[in-house]
Amino acid sequence: MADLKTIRGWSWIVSALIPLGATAAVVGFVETDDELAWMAVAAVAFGVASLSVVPSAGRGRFTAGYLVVASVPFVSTSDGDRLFTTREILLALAAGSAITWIMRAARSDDQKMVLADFFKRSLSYGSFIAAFAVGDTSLKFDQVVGWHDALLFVLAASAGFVGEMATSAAFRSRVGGGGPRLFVVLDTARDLNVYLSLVAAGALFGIAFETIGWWSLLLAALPYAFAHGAFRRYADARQTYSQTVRSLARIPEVAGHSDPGHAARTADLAVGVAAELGLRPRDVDTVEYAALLHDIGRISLNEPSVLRMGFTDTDIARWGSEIVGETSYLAEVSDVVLRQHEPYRNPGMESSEDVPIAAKIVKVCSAYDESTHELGSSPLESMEKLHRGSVYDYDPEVVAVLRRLLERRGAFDRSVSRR
Amino acid sequence: MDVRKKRFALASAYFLLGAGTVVFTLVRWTPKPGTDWVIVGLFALAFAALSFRSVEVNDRMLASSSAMVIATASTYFAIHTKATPQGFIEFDAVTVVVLIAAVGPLDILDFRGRRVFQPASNFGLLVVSAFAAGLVADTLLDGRGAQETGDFVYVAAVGALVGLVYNLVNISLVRFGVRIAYGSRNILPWSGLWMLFGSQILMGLLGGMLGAVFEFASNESLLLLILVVYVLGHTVFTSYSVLRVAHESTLRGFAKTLETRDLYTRGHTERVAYFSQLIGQELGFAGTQLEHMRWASLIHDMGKLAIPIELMRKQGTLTDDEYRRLRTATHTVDDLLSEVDFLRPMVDVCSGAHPRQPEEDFGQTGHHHTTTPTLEQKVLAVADAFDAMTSVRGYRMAMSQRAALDALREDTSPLYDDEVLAALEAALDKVGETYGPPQLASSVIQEDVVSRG
Repeated sequence: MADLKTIRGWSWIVSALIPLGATAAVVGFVETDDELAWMAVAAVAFGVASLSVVPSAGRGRFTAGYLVVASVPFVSTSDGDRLFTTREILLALAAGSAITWIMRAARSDDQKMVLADFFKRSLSYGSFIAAFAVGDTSLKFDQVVGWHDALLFVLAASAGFVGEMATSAAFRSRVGGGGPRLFVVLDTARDLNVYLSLVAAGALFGIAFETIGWWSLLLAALPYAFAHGAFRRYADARQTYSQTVRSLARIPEVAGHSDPGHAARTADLAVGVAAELGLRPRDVDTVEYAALLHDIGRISLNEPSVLRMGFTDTDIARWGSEIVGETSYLAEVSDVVLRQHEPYRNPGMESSEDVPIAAKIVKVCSAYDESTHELGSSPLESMEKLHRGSVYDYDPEVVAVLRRLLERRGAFDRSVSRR
Repeated sequence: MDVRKKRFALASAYFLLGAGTVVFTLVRWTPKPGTDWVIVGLFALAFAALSFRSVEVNDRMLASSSAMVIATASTYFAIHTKATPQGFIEFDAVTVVVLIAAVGPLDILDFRGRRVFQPASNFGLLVVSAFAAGLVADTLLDGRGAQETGDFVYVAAVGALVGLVYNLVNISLVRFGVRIAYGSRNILPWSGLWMLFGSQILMGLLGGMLGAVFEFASNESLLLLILVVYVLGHTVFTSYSVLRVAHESTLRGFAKTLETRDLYTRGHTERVAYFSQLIGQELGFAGTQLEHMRWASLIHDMGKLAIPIELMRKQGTLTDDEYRRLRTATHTVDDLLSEVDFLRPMVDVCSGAHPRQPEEDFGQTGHHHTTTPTLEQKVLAVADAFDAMTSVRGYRMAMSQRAALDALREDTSPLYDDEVLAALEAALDKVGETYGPPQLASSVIQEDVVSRG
């Protein structure tokens, strides 16, 4: 295991060197005046670079291909004209995409996924190039002397990102799970920093190329390597939190305080409900972690029984939230763990606004899972209990969403056929 | 001398050093028409923004990507203002970067919070580092105005050197300050420092390249991209910090879980961590190894979580059945901890550090019982046993330090290694602490003050 870890630690260098090395190798064989040769260089560089994926937080999957896409339009010849026309760029990118497609298809099992990626990327790259072409030819950026390229960069980069978000939403079913379109768009938007560092490094290459030649490869490769390392560490940190939460969540189960698998099943339902309710991706994470950890406070009980010792749910929730509160990242989760046992409204009062929606979701999903698994009720009976409890305990809105989710998953069909 | 006084003396010294440098630079400098003050202002803004957003990458150690700004500014201005070579060292880059660095620590929050020490010492730190960096650029780039590719390589190399000098001066001053103000033993070890230093040097290189390109290409658009790259540099440090916080949070979460379950062992884990760190330092552990020692100590008792409390509180000997339950529980938790990637090596250290009965069978749980424990396992075992013996337990009085060490020496278990015991004794002598009665206050209170210094 240790060896694998070491290799992973250096992977950013490898992935920075791949596009670099490939381009340099091709460059060795071309005459600099030949248009076609230049296009071949761009195509091969793009095709190979697209194979190396940069880690990111949301569901955007950004490749080093963005470096090439953002750099090629900016490259100028020594007399100040662009080296490539828009048509040449598009041709080169199409050829490059074909290379990527062939190489990925050869080693992937999921051909549909590869094809979907191919279309997705073509669309988002296309919007970058199109915006650049429009800006370069029709808009009067030339009057803003010196800042011409900067304005073009802003325009093209924004268009490319909008294209990326739109295609993610359009292809949502392909990339794991789905959820409402707005959720997918927001989830993609989390990766703006990854995207921005890639296109900025690319544009840097394109603008500097005229002056310093192939040294600008190094100028683009360094930021790329930084981005790769940094975002991998972010991904590692997120993975650490997720692993920690999952590990902590199993402790009450191991110690015999709660039903094995209860936390995981509750979390699965809660995430579905939260996404259905249109919570932001970060809040969905909070809901998932809170659902996993909602019983953690039980480990302070002497015996696996709540009532006998005279502790109340409030005590358990408080202990749990103290444990979770030790981790700064999970501060919101801690609050949810504290509040998840509370009724959504108290007698004689309207719905109490200060109970977070995440806490209401966890309460409902936990009760449903407890009813179906520990008490042995059928899904329909369990839903009935939730409906009856929705005067005070369970927020009717959340219960309705849970029912929709379960209907879609076919939980009720199964219970009918079982009878 | 208490920490406050030391910090005051240190801050005054750094501040005076910085103020002296600024005055010296300004006196030495004659303004030239080539200096573009808008660009100086932009760089100063970028520098201030980056230093303001500096992140704590290690215990009380802050880092930021502001070195990139210094590298860019010094290379750019060292060439740009010298269209006509002068023959001797002009303080062009020096003046600009010293001015940039002087406004860097001006932070509205410090004024509002009426903090004086930190901004004052930061001011000195940054100005002195920038002065050294600018001097390198001015010396090496004197009279260079040509726009050739060969020059670009040279200029970029100088940029890297500038970044290196800036960071070396800065980091040594910070380390010196932290040592003086807090003493070294309260600083948590971290394995990432060398990687961090590597990043700093690469950022210097990148900063220098950006300065060279900005000068040679004379395209203002590059400023925007340069700023984006600066932000990216900032992201690198944030990512280090985020990863480190993730690891620390995980450990704190587990430790708190243990404490919630059993108030009785409160403080035990921290003391074991402290002892194993002392032993580790004495045995010459560094960086990663010390950090792993600390982490292993913090989780070494996690197995208790799955043990029913009536077993844990039971006085007298356990029956065979109870003993088996206890063992199974411990191993279940070990497996559980192994699910967290970065803890895996530490779990191995912990599971080997518990003294075992020879007849125990570990074949079924998948845990390898090696007959010769590793050094880390020995250190942890000694620290654990030493703390258990010198503190009061429900069923017996605490032993004195001498008696505990002697008892461990006489123990035949290969875990209680004489070399490790000697290291513990030597380390305790060095820090001048004694545990167990007659000094009953056996808990080590670690100051939890994080300073932005």
